[in-house]
Amino acid sequence: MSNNKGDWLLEGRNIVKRFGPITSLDGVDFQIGRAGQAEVVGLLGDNGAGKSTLIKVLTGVHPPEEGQLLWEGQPIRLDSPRDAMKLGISTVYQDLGLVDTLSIYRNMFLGREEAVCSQIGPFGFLQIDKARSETKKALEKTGITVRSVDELAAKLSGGERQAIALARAIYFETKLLILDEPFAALGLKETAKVLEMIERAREEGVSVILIVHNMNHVYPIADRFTVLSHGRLAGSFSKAEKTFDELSEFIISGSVVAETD
Amino acid sequence: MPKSISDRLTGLVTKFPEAGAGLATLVMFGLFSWWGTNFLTVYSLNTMLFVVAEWGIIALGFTLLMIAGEFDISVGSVLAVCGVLAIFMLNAGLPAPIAVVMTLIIGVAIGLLHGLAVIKLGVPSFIVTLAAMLFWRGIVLVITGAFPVEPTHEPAFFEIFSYRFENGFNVSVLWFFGVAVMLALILHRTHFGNWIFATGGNKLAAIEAGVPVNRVKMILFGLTSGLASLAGIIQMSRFGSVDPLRGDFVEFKAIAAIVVGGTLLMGGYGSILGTVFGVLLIGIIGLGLVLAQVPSILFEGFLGGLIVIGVIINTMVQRRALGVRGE
Amino acid sequence: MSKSALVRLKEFLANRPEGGAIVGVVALFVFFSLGTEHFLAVKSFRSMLTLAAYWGIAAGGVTLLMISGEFDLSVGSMLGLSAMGVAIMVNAGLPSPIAVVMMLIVCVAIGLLQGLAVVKLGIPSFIITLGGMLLFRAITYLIHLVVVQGDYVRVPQDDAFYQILSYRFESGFNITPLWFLGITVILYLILHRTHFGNWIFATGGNKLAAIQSGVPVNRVKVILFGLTAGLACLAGIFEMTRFPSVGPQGGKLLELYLIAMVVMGGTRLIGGYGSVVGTVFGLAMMAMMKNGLSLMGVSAYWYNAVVGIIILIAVIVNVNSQRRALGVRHE
Repeated sequence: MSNNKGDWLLEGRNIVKRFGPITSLDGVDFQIGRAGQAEVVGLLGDNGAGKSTLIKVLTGVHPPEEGQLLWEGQPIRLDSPRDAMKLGISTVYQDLGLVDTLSIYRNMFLGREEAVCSQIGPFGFLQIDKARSETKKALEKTGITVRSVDELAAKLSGGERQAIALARAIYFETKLLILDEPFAALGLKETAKVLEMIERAREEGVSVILIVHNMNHVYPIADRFTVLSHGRLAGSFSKAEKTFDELSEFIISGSVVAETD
Repeated sequence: MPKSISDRLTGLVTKFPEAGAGLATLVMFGLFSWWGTNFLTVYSLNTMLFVVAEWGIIALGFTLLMIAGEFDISVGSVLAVCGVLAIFMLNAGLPAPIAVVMTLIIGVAIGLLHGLAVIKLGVPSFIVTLAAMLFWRGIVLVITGAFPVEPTHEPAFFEIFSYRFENGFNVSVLWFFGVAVMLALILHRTHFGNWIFATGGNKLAAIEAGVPVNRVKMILFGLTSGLASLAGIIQMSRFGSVDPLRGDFVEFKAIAAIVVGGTLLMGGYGSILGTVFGVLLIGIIGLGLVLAQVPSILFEGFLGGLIVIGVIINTMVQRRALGVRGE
Repeated sequence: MSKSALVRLKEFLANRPEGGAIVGVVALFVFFSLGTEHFLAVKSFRSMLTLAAYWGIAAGGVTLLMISGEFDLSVGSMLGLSAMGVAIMVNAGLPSPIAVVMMLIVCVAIGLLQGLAVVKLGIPSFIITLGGMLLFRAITYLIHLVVVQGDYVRVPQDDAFYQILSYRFESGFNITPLWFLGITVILYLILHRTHFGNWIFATGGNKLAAIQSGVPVNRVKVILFGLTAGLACLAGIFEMTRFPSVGPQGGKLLELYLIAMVVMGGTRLIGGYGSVVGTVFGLAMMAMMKNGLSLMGVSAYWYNAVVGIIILIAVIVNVNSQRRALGVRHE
């Protein structure tokens, strides 16, 4: 498999994931970002359809029982979230992945401290000033303002936390951003701001996978939709192929349809 | 899908957290009976029973508290304090029944105090009861001046707590089993028991469902300390005196019995029967060691080993039974 | 003018984990200084310093471990085991540096094992180390019984290596506090200035988020268990070198006091928030109480009761300041 323009950014083929006797994913195919073009894909489906599980497989949290992952056309194996991060996949989970007891700038570089460390022996010594100034820059770039980067994450509002998690993902040259229910705890204004950030990410060449329950959030901004049902791929459509109502109906009907396309 | 033996066993354990401990108790009993010469006599078994009954009662109350997600390592000190207070009241001329009742009330009050500190002040129960352990132990030392205290007279009333028959059987064992039955009924057959599991299992969900979690915890703190004071009275009745070091180490034995019996440290899962088995198991091993003339300090070591092995086994089995839900 | 300085001071203290402990230290210091003139004597400082140093070497490890969200109740027993073990080995003819290194290796290995049991088997650290506490204590007594038939083990006071650990100056001061200082500074740097320290806070503060951010939480915890065990061993050896003979009861129940000191210093029991400096202050409070109360002629029986109350007060203050610093978001 050579890395040519026809390849997807990230592709999962025939992903099977079991937990004990339960089969969460039963041969699911997923693609995003064809030919190096950034796109926003909405991952939809009812509860228990397997959306979260698919994301966990795609980001290295769980290895699949069967199936193959490909990144930029090359087959890959992800043993941990760190492997996925190294490729350029960033995930912002529902619980936001921010540590309350840490300051904003420490959260920003959590897990990627190498970016602001000078290595002395086995330890990377944090360059605190650099960490703080880089954090400020990253936040400005994505249009967020906070009182101080030294504030503990605990003090931030829901929207601010979401924004920081997003800013962190974008700062680290993410190629693929995965957002799991990003609007769950947000008000109208904050939701609009986050949608804006997603748009900006796509403009900068970052592909985004959005998992949302409320189709109203994802339909306007997404380019394509992948629908899961009971652990199987129910269908994959571009926005041109289905209207909002048609898509809603499709999801609700919940039937397992043979793959289109 | 045909059920394999391991599936059946794990199914058993899901419904009966005490299964592992029960099995171990039987095995140990068999082992020592076969191996030890004096083990299987009525007298030694009865002796073992009443020795463990005294701290076992505490373990029972502690079990409920742990299922609700809280800790109390002050129980040994409370035992000592209450024993001492009981004697002082006797010496002051109070009739025995009144002294007993008052001691129990004081015990419960102490527990409620702990609960208050945990709930109102937001301090983790481990720390509150650690401080309390030191505090009450200190009070005991201050009151007694580090000397054993004896009642000036020993009313027959106290025989209710520790009358000993010729074959060695002690009434205190009845107290132990009686409390065990009562608590087991509360835990598994009443709405309050349901509340206990809920509070420990998922406090947020419990609150949302309308469970008065704070009240539940307070009551259990009071219960645990109250049972500690009962244990103090029983011990006092048996020995006829209280010395300031009484109850030392009780908290560790209780934790060992509870944890070996299948109750989870983080709460939400457990059983009184499991604790009973845990208590008996420790008693059996203790008796076996004594008869084998093993130096008593090694008993600690066996306890430690027992805790580790018991918890490892329980955890592994419980994990398979309850399923590793999205770790 | 002075009012705003006071307000700023209050804010500064409230936002740091050590805040409450600083106030506590000052308060106790003033109290005891007023209570008895002996408190301010050199001799009293010396004894407090030595005490704090011995506790402190072990407490640093406990602090880091607690911040990562775990406990080690076997610290005291490991301390006793180390003291006895090294003494016996040296008496058997092993050169002291070798005996010390061997004991360290053994203790760190035990610590790593406990850590592995916690992360791999999913057993609460509280229980595993409780078992460890009882086991190691029993082993210590067993060794004591079997190897030296219950006698106290002699510790040669003129051993050159021991001198490095606890040389006693003419002024009567011991070198051990310097070791304690050095270790504490290293731990401070690790915790607050390295990526590993960030990982420690993250692991304790929000394990899930840490994992998602790629922090190797299991590795962090296992390393800290090994570290705590190693420091406990070291503390035991330091303590052993101070006396001409050693018995098997060293460090009994110390772990509970250590936890109290760490929590008094502002570290949160459930992890994610805390400081090594705070632990030093917690140590200072304990040492002052131990020394000051006896100097004031307070009977040893009151000691327990008073310590219990002070611990409670200190923790209440800390919990409240933590709530304010971290915000009571989810209860």
